[in-house]
Amino acid sequence: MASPMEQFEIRPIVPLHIGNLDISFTNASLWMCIVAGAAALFLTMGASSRRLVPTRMQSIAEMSYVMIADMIRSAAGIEGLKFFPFVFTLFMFVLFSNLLGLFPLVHPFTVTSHIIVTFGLAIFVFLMVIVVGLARHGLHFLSIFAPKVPAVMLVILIPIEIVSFLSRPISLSVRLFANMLAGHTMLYVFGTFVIGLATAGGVLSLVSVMPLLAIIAVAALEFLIAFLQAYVFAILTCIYLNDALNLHEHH
Amino acid sequence: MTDHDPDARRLADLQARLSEARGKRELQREAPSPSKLGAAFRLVTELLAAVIVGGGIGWALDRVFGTSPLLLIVMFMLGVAAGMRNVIRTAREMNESQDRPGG
Repeated sequence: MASPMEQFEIRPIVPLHIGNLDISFTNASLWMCIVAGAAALFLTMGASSRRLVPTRMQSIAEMSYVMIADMIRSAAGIEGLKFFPFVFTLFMFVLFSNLLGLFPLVHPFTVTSHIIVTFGLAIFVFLMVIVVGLARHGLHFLSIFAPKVPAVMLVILIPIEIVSFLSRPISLSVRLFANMLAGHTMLYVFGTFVIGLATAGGVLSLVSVMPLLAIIAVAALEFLIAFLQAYVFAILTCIYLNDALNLHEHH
Repeated sequence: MTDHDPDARRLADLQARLSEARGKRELQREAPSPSKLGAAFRLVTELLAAVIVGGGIGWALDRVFGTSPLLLIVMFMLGVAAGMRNVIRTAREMNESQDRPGG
């Protein structure tokens, strides 16, 4: 039986090489294009009708817009809204990657189940926070490493704060990646239980109902996690942006 | 963004009135309450990431300066401390967003 990790394998579709550099168009590339296309299509269709009483599609598109706008406003203040396009794009990309990865039958490739993808997104957020912080506050930005405590404590606290700051892209990317990886592996493993037991015959075939019920529950949970992880990714981006925009203030 | 700009002040004033008016409506629009599993997972990654980063920096510096394993030990401990700090901060954020009616 195939390994549960096989679903995460990257296979080239159109092999391309520049020197020793492998830039093949892979199934990962394909699904990233599908994700971006689906998100763009969804929002364009949602925005195109412009009815006063929205259709379902328009309603969902508007709700996601308002949700992210509210999130930025509450986490990073009014000024954070300048970064709305960025945060919204990030949220939509992650959400659609997670959701399309759960699509049945077509054997989708979940792009967010690869740490390099989530780390790429996270390091982009991380670098942007640094650039925005330095651009707005200059070297004063470095005061986020110095909590308001007696000077003696700073000797130990500043290194701790720096390590804590550097750990952000890691925790941001590992959380999303691990959730996706674990969820899809779990679904696969339960799936093989169902098939294995059902084909075993006799009493075992009846027992196969149990992993089937489990897989239904897990699948429902995965949909929740798909949304929640996209939400968490976006809100943490807002919280980090708040540090860059407002330094010690909290909104 | 200067306070002397009358337009900016009017904008800020409008903003204040808007957020006051919105206050009540925000009550109904709550953020999705993260599951217990999600909360636990979030705290674990915060802790682990800092330990990994701390240990990683220590290990790399040791290789550069040839002081193995001194810096690894020191930075690992700093990583653990930073991880604790992350966890405390995250837990506080979680509590705040729970206590705040607007979510």
